[in-house]
Amino acid sequence: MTNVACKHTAERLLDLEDGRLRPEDAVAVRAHLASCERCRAAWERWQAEDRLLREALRPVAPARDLAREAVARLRAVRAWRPAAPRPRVLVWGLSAAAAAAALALAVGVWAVLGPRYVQLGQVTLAEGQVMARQRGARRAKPMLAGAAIYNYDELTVGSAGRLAVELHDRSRLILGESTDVQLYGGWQRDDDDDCDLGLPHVCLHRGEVECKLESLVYFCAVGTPLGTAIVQGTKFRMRYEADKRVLLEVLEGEVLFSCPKGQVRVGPGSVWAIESTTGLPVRVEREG
Amino acid sequence: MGARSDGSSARDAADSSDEALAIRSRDGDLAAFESLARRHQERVYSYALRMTGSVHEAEDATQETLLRVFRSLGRFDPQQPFAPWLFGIAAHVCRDALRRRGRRREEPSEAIEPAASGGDPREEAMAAEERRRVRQAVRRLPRKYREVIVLHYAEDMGYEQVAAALGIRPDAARRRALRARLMLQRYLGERER
Repeated sequence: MTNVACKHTAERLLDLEDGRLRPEDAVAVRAHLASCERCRAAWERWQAEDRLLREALRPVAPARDLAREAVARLRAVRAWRPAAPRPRVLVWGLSAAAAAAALALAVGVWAVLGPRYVQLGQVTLAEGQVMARQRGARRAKPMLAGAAIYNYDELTVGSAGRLAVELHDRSRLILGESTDVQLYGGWQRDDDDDCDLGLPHVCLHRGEVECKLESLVYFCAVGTPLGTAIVQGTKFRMRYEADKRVLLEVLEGEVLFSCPKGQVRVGPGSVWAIESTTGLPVRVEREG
Repeated sequence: MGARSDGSSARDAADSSDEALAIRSRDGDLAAFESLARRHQERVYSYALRMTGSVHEAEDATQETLLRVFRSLGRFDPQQPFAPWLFGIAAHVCRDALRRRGRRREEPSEAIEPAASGGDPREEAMAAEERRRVRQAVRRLPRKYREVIVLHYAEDMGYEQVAAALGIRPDAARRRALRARLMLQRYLGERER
C-alpha cells in the first residue's frame, strides 16, 4: 500500500470515528485499514486513546457548592442595591423605595458586581466638606481628592462644598453644594474585553449633579423620586430642589427623562421642571 | 419589567429546560438561576479544571462564569442551545485566568481526581497513572487545541457545538481536534521512551 493512501487514511481517522465520512470514503478507508497493518495499528491506538481521553477527562465535582455561592453573591448585591428609603423623600408622595427600584431597573444586570470588579472612577476635586460612606460602613468619613470612587456608595457634599469625579471614559460628575447622592453599579473588570458594564448610576436625594458624559457606548441614569434621566454622550445638569421639583437643564445632546406620568426627550438649551404635584415635565424659562 | 420573586419553587425550576430557566433567570428569578447554575456547575468546573489544572483557579473560574452568565443573559438567544453559549463564556473566563497566571508566573496546583470504582488495586493504580499521564499531556497542549479536546472529550460536545462555543467554524474545530490528537500521541510517546 502506498504512503499516500496511509496519509490519506491518517487524516480521516477523526471523521471515521465521528461517522462523518461519506459512505464511499468510509468503505475506502476501511478497506485500507484491512490491508495495511501499520494503519490498522494506528486506528486501534486511536480508538484506545479516545477511550483513555474520555476516562482521564471525566467530570469532577467541585468540593464546594459554587452555584450556591454565586447566587448568594447575587442576592447580597440585590439586597444592598435598593437602599433604605429616606424619610424626607416620602413627603413627595413617591416612596424612595420606588425610586430606588426604578433606578435598579435602569441598572439592570449591572448589579452582578462583586469584589473582583473595580469601579473606574476617581475623585479629582473635593472642596469644602465632602463626606462619603464606604459600602458596608456605618459612618461617613471626609472624602479627599484622589480617592477611588469604587469604595463608596453614599456621597454628601456640605454647604459651600463641591465634588468632581472623573470616570474611566473621562466622563465627569460634579456634585454641587448641599448635595446628597447614592451611587449604583458602574463596576468594570479591568481585563475584561467582553464587558458591558459601564458608568455608575446616580440616585439624587437632594442638591445638584452635573454630568458630562463622553461615552456613546455606556449610558448613565440619574434618578430622583420624581423621575429618572437616561443619558448617553450628554452634558446636563439636574437639580432636585427643596421646593418639591426637579429642574433639568440640557447643555449638550439629549436626555430622556422618564417619570411616572410619561417620558419626555429634552434637547439642548432647554430647562424643564418636573413638579411633584403633577409629576409632569414642563418647559420653563431659564432662571438667572 | 416583570421581575419574579426569588421564592419561586425550586422544584418547578428543576423541571424546566435550560433555555426556559435562562429566560426566567433573565427576568430576575434567582431561584431559576440557582437551578440552572447547579445543573451546570460540575461541567463548568470540570472544564475549568482541565483548562487551568488548578483547583483554586477552577473554583474561581466557575463562579466567575456563573456570574457572567447571569449578567449576560440579556444576550442569550433562547432559540439556541444553552450549553455552547455557557461554555463560550467559560472559555473566555479560563483564557483570562490563564493570562493572569502568565503575568503572575504561578504554577497550577495539582487537582484531586475521582477514584475509579472497585477492581484490582494494582491495575487500578496503573490505570490511574495512565489517566494522570493523559491529563498532563492534555495540559501541555496549546490553549486553543486544549479547549477543543476538553470540550469534546470531557464535556461530550460534538464538533458543531464545540465550534459554536468557541466562535469558530466546525471545520476549524475538527482540524484543531485532529492536530491536538497528533500532538497528544507525540507527548504520550515521549513519556514511553
